[in-house]
Amino acid sequence: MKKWRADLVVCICFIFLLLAVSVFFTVTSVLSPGAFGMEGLQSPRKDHLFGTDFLGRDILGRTLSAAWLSVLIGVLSRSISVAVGLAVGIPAALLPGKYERVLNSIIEIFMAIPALLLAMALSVVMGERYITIFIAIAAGTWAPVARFTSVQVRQIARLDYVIASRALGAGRFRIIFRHIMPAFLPTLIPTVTSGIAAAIMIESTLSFLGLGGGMSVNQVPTWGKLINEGSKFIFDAPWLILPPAIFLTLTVLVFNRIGDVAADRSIRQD
Amino acid sequence: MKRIIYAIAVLLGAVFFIHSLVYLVPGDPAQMMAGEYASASDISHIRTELDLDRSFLARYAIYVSRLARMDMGTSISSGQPVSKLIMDCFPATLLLASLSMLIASLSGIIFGVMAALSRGRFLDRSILAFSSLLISTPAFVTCILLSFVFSYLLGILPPSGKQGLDPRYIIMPAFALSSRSIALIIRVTRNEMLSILNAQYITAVRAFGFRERTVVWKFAFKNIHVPVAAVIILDLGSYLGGAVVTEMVYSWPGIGRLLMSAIQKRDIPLMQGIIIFNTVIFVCAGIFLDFLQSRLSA
Repeated sequence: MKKWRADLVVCICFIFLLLAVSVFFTVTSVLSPGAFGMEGLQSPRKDHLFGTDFLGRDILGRTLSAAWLSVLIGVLSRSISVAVGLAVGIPAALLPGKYERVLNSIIEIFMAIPALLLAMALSVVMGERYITIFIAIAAGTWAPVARFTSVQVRQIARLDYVIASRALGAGRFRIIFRHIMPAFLPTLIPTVTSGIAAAIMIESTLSFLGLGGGMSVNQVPTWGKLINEGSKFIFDAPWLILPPAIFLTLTVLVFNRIGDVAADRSIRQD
Repeated sequence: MKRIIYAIAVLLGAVFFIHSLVYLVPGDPAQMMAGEYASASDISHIRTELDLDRSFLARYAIYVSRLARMDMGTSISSGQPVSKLIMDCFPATLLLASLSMLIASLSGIIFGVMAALSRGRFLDRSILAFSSLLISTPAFVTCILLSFVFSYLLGILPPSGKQGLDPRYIIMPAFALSSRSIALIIRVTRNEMLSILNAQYITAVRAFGFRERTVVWKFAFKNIHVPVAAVIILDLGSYLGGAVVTEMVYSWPGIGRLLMSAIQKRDIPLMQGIIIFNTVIFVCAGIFLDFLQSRLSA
């Protein structure tokens, strides 16, 4: 077992703590994130530490209860994009010439289309549903994963031990899953975690621009939506925007940090 | 040359995908664009305008042949040609993109070199921490915080808009847009600089007794500008296609805002045109980068 770096431990603890607190707040409604108050847009004071929004709901409560949804969207849409990336990238590395070229050109095409714009266009044409967000983010971000996969896997497939096992008569799937994947997956970890950060960012940007899923008053919000709401009152009630902005930035920072540490580690192993 | 032909093939594929995206939607695209209260004649007008009554491949062929003549069709919401609308907005975007890239490359390179030279010390660590913070802050948060501080609290800069070439209006959008690239350039410059400073030829140059400043800027810097140029060119390529968030927050009349209004009005031809324009610029930036790399490393 390698030594765990202190910052890695702090980052992982932060995420779990955030999720735990968030679920706790959503389920028990301490601070009642959903309850409407009598007065909207109160500035920070004793019973509402960060003030209230235009319907009199507690900002801190709303920000914390938004955490799990934001993180969930990030993790899920990144999982989809990694799955697609692997599904295209591995064949692109291992199939013979003709198919390989077709798959690589498809990857190239998707690399050329800007991710955010693709996500925006998709969320317009698919309408405002939660599933839209996942598909929009995954469609915009799978191509770099596929490119990385195909380059790495091609290198690993040329290593002696893989050639040896092929010579011993191992089947294609056995080679992929027993010999190539264990060598390849650790190098993918940095891409995955910093991709989660990117996905959380794209989701919040879409919500900020008003392109996310439905935005009814009672729904669990995401941070992007809270910031979007807050930005309408920025000059009258600047406290609205601070908590979601801080939590969003911190979370993205933490996921990026985990990615950096993982990348450091895999470089040192080489 | 081979690279250019390949790029054109990639572009055709991208156009195919973007074009098909719109028409794979469940329901009638013409109905969607016209809105709920459109009359039947409006809808049929849109349908003929977009050749929706033809087969998909025929439509794609028509669209590509028009694209070759720089004709991207007509915007539904304003009735003007899409290419004209894009070209009207392009100067504002060009101004914003080039200014922020200038800010980003200057400050990114300077801070990156500073960090590399003070490796492991306090200055290095604070520059690195600052750059991780910049990378992790979403664009809209940067924009809102900047405008809150400088136009609401301090009241020294106008919150949004663009009036002629008045420099006060461009300061905040340019800095907001540059923040992410600054961070990226800092990282690349620092890492490259660190690996170069360990190279043997640098030790040799030092042994000749050149001043440290000459060693860094004249001898070491020559070998880091390829990776740094890669970051600069690719980011510039993506900004030239319009920075949606920055332009929206500051009401900057560029391509990003045009795209947002196209989306709000469900103006599909305009939306499609802007995304294709973006892709073209990005691919061109890639070609230019390849060209530069082969030149610089030769």
